[in-house]
Amino acid sequence: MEHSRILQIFVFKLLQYYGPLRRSFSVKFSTIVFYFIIVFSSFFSGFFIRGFYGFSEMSEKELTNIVSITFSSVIAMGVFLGLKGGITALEPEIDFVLTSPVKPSTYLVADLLFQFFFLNFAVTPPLVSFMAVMLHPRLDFLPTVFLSYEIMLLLSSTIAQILGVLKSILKNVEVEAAGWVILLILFMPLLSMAIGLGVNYSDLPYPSTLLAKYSLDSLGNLETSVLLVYIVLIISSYFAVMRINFIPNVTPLLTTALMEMPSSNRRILKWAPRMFTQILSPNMNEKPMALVVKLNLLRVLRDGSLFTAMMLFAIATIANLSFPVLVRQFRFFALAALTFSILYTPLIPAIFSINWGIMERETLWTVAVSEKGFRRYVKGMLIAYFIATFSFALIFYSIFNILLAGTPFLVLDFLLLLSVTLFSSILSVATALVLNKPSNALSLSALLYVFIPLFGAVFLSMPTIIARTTISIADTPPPMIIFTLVSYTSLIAFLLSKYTLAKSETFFGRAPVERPLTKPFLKPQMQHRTNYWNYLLNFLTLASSILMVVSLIGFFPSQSDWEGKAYAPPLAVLTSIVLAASIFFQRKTAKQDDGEFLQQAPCNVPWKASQSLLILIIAMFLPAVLETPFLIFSLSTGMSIDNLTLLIVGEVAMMIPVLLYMVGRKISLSFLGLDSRSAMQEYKTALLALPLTVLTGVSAGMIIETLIPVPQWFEGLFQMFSPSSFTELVKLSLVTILIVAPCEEALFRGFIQQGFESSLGSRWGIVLSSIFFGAFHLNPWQFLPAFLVGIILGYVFRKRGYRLWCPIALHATYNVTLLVLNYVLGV
Amino acid sequence: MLQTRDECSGNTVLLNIEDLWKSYGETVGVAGLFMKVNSGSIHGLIGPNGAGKTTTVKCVVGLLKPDRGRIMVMGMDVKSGEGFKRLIGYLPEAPSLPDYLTPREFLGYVARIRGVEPGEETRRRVQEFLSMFELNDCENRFILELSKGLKQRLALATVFIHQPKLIIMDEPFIGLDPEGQRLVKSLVRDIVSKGGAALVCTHMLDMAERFCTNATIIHKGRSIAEGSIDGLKKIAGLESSGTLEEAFFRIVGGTEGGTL
Repeated sequence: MEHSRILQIFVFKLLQYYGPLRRSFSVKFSTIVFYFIIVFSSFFSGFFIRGFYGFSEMSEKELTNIVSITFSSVIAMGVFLGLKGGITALEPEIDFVLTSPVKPSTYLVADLLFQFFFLNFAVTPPLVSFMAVMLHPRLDFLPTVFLSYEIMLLLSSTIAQILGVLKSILKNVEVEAAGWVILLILFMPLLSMAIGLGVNYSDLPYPSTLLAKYSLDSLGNLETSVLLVYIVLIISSYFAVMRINFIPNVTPLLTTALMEMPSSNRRILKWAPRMFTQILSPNMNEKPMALVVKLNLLRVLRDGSLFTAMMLFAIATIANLSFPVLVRQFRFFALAALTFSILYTPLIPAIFSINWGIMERETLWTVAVSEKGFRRYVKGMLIAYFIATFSFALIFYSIFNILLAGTPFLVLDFLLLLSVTLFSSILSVATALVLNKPSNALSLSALLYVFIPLFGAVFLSMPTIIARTTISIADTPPPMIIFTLVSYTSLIAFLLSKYTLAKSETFFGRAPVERPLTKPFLKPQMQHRTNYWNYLLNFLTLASSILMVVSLIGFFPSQSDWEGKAYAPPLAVLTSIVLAASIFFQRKTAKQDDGEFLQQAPCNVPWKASQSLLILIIAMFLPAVLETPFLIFSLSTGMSIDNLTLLIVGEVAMMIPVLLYMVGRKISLSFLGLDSRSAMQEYKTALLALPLTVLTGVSAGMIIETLIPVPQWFEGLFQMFSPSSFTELVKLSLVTILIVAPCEEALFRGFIQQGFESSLGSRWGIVLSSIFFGAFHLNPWQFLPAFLVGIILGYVFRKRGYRLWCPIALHATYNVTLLVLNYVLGV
Repeated sequence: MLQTRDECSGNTVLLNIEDLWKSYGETVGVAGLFMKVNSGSIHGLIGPNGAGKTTTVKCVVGLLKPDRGRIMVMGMDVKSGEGFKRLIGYLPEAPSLPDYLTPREFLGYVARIRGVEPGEETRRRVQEFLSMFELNDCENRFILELSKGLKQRLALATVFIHQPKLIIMDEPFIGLDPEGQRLVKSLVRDIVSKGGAALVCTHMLDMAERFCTNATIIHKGRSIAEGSIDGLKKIAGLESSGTLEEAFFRIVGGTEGGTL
């Protein structure tokens, strides 16, 4: 009975948090996108750190250090959640579940399950991929590290609940003090590394360190018993806590996670802001503008946004400063670390904006119904964010400068701080105005509020960063450079704030509910019945005709390859039979389709250039993400992976985001242009265009290779995909015809070009999608040929009424021609 | 739309809504609404849940952008500028207030951004409204710590602090004690007697009958009857001894079987 209750509450929590009701499609979609980006970036930060250590095996001490830092941060997360209330109750639960006759222990266990799930969902994939990179080549430790990590997560949720329950029944201050002490102890080694004292995690008997040692199989006997004592202590105090009869004062943790709401009984946090509060207290003589600035400053001070932001920012900075010590690159890097810490500054305004979205956004009716109220409010918000971020970041860095014993804070450091602060403040405000309300403070949608200012500010400050990291000018920059940087920064900041203020005009006009896309879009000219038989015929015709030509290679008398002589005749016979059959059946069906050919309709698709661009970026990321497990596997086992498998995984992965997007928005896939009508006419056109395509591609390739000589390593990479035997040639051709060409065409022509065309017109649509098609190959030697061929493919696509068959055929024949050339000439 | 003879035709029209349309995706909020609020009247906007009352009001104060239609406030088109906002006082259905301010700070802030003269004038009015709404005891506590009723009083104080001409209130008396209700009613009557007007959304019909002089009945996004309270009763075929509630059910039920 009790078990089923636990399960019910757990499922209710899951539905509440992840359920279908809460989010619009765009939020779900961006959630998936950002999830992948997080996994990807943690993977790469692993690689980055490994770059410092070297890729050979790390010493036991180093591994222990890294793993225990990760484990300690997991505990820290638990303590943080505990300090915020520890029970991840959502608002409806406080009103309904906690007032029902459910035992507190039942509810707590269900909540523990939820927290465990929630933390796993949020941090496990990125952390495990990070760990995998760090452990390489000792991947045999991965299972035990993973297991210990899961134990750590469970302990961390347990600690969160213990602290939370204690906080709800005891005095706030005591529990809070205890929590802060634990946090301080946990981060003490990191801090000591940052200021150069060099106490390591591996020297200390922390539970996280002991568990790390256990997972790396280096735990001594005494240490084992200490670890057991820790675990027994935590579990027994959890059982003690579970015996309480009711849980008072539960707050919606997920909503207020980044806040500290003011209250009369919270004196500890009150005295510090009081000083500022007195200066900021709005007096009645103020001009409205000054008043709005003051109010916004008061908000971030009193609702604890500034405090939380400073805490996270401090942890990020300490981690960053300890980094040079961790990777054994001492003093030399301290200065650079300080510089890069400046790049964390956007965390401060980002958290202001998250809390703004959660709480303040609802109260805006007061300003909205005053004349010019909201525009003035947004202006005030911009100024307040800038003042708060800049002054606090400056104070912070001054402290660190002193701790780092006098590394000079250069003019360019100051300028960098200024520009990052400026850009991130404006971007945070703009983000808050443009995005929907975050569903809660710890949700992935809130993460977007951090991502945009963080990456935006770093990106826009790039000129200053480059100047700062160029050693020759960093110390004494010429006045000209300072002048240029200052004018660049102020110009961009001016333009950005103009944009933000323009957004404030339309903020209230919007309908609160997003327009649901319930009716599937149908491409008007393609509303006839889908004939799957025709798809098969079209592909069979294409594959068999190309393979028939390929099989002819085997008949060349000069062929030295025995496979060719053996397999070519049967292949030729088989393909000609299939070709004849498929042409015969095509004739039958082609008649039915007569008369509705080639309407020169303008490009009209229900997605725009921005969506195309977004999907393109993910489509370029995703293959790498999906291929990495294979690469790790091959690196760790020494087995080489079939290059065909890699090719297929990469190409199919590329299509996933497009398909997800279209299915999610209920857009008919026929919009991509792969209809089921007969493609014979299309293939004829492709045949006509083939010589031009091959000529363009090959000559462009030759020109670029003479201009930029191809390096050795790249040739080796390219060799992977050039056939060495006849069977391999046939296999590669088949994959090209059936997978590579359709996938790439559906993505670049069907999705991206049409998206660009519908926003920017045909000419720019074709040119831009071809540029991306070239850039997608990620090297200069394929860029130019791919770009030019892309233009031809795009043009043909448009001319043939946005049907994909012709570009697919053209793409496939062009690629197979290259393969054959490679094979025959051995280039 | 059923309309009574305009009994106070000499008065100016303070609010005029013509053919207002607003939909949220597939759901229609308001579909072709017409209404007029004359100066000197307390105008009730009454209708069942989901009839479109709140949507209408939000369109008037500029929190929502209508899909179609024209809204004139004192001769100013709502779309063409923000000048009209100086003359209105607005209370939303469930007002949320900035938790981190104290009532005194909040009232001063609202007074200033709504154009009350700085300095002595603002200070005087803040003091006056704090004591009028009996918020003196908690003027230096955070709004977070106030009870729902006190928050409602504070929100109501912001409606009147800049002496608007047109008061727009969405369910003003929910969560308010009888004393507070009487205070708000007298403040509204005071403004109306000086040539202003009030638009009050409600579905509490007995209150509307006693408090309002005129009313518009809306149902499914359309206005189905408008006029003085007695006039509405006449439309429904009732004597003046009948209640507004009866009239409402007759009128709404006459168009189709609507329930409250």
